[in-house]
Amino acid sequence: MKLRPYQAPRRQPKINDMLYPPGSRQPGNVWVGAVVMNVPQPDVSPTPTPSITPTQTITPSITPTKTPTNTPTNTITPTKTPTNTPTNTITPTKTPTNTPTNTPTNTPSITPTNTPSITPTNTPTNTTTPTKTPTNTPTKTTTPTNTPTPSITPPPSGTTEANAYLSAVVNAGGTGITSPISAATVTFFTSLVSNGLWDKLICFYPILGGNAAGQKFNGKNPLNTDAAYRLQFNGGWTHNASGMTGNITDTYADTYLNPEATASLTLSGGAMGFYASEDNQSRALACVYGAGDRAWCYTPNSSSLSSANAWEAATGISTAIISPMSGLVGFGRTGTTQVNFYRRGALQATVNKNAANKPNQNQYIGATNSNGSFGAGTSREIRFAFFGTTLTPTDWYNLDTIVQTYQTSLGRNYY
Amino acid sequence: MEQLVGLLTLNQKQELVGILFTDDSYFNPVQDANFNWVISQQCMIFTTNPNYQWVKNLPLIIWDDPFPISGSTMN
Repeated sequence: MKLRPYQAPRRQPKINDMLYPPGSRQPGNVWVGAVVMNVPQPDVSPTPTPSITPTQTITPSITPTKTPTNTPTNTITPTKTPTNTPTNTITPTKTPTNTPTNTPTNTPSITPTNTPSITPTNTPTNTTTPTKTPTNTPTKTTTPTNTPTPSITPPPSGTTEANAYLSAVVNAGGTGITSPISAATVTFFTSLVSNGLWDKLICFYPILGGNAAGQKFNGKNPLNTDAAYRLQFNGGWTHNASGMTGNITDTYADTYLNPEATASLTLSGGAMGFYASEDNQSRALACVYGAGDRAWCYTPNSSSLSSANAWEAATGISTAIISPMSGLVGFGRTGTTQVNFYRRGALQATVNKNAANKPNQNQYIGATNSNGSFGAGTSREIRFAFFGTTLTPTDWYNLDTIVQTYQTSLGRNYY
Repeated sequence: MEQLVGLLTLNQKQELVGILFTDDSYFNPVQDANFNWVISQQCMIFTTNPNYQWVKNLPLIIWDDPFPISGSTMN
């Protein structure tokens, strides 16, 4: 029901004129006494209705005025959101702190101004923000790059590695690991590291522990697994504090080192060496033959020659006998055409021989792996053995010094 | 230098393949130059596996090396 504004009386109208004007019936107010009664006029008053309607039209015109004002306010919110995002990216710790702080601040300031229509608009905006936050958080939390970093970061010092090796020997049942032997072993390992030899040795065997259980471990990776190149003893080896000694009947140690499957052993490189007794016999200290023209063998002091197969099996290579043989002896490739023999850290001979292929069988120590079949065991005593990548003359010199010092500390040096 | 080894039958040889005779040491039956299956005396002596104590009673024969050693011992 609408009220008409008050109007000052102009004159006293007649009731009949008001109710029934001449010509037609007219809408109007009924005067009762001095009070103007508001009479509902559905279709009788077309004139006041349009005059009120424009007044109401103004109200909606104000509303749209507010709407555009609020709209840019909302536009600012997303502008702040990306601004916070990079800040969160830099400092992961601050990310959660900034996000909740900005969110409540914007929400209350906008909510009362925009009343109901704006509030729901801001709410989804805030909802979007936390959606981004968890996206950043797991990315930083996972940080797979950081996880492997600690395991890679600490370079080998030799001490930790030596202690791991000694623990493996003792835990497996090895005996005779006294304090002096432990100290000598730590010195041995740290010397390998400090002289840059650690990374060039694929596997090496200090042969400590006095029994098979202790002597089987690879110093580079002292795990009791084939993949760690742990020795698997076969036949009647004699193990004691001096080392391990084969018999010419049935002994060999499987290293599980397959040259073909070992990427670091290339046709242009590779080396092996031993600290072994001086017996002269036509038995390899270590050997593996594969099918075809491929072998990696070393037989020092066989009759009047020392011989080897360096990634070929067709003819082999040989040099003069090593006398005396005691000390570190071995050979290595320095390119696809040249092989060098070493004794006690000095170059003994250089032989030109082209590399052909790497055998696809496990390397044996103390006998020959003849494409999967056992052949010809040695009865030499072995106190140290290694297989590695290419060694320089300086490497051979340093390695011989380190091994000789170690064996002397253990009281089992040959010279 | 003569070396004695333990003589195996074919069945005994097949029984020993892949068997530990003591901790971390496997039997390795091999054939001599006369195609006899044998194991070293060390294997016989060091066997602690209770199921294979019978190897200690194997008959001994002289080792006839299928790969004669051409060098000389210089100990």
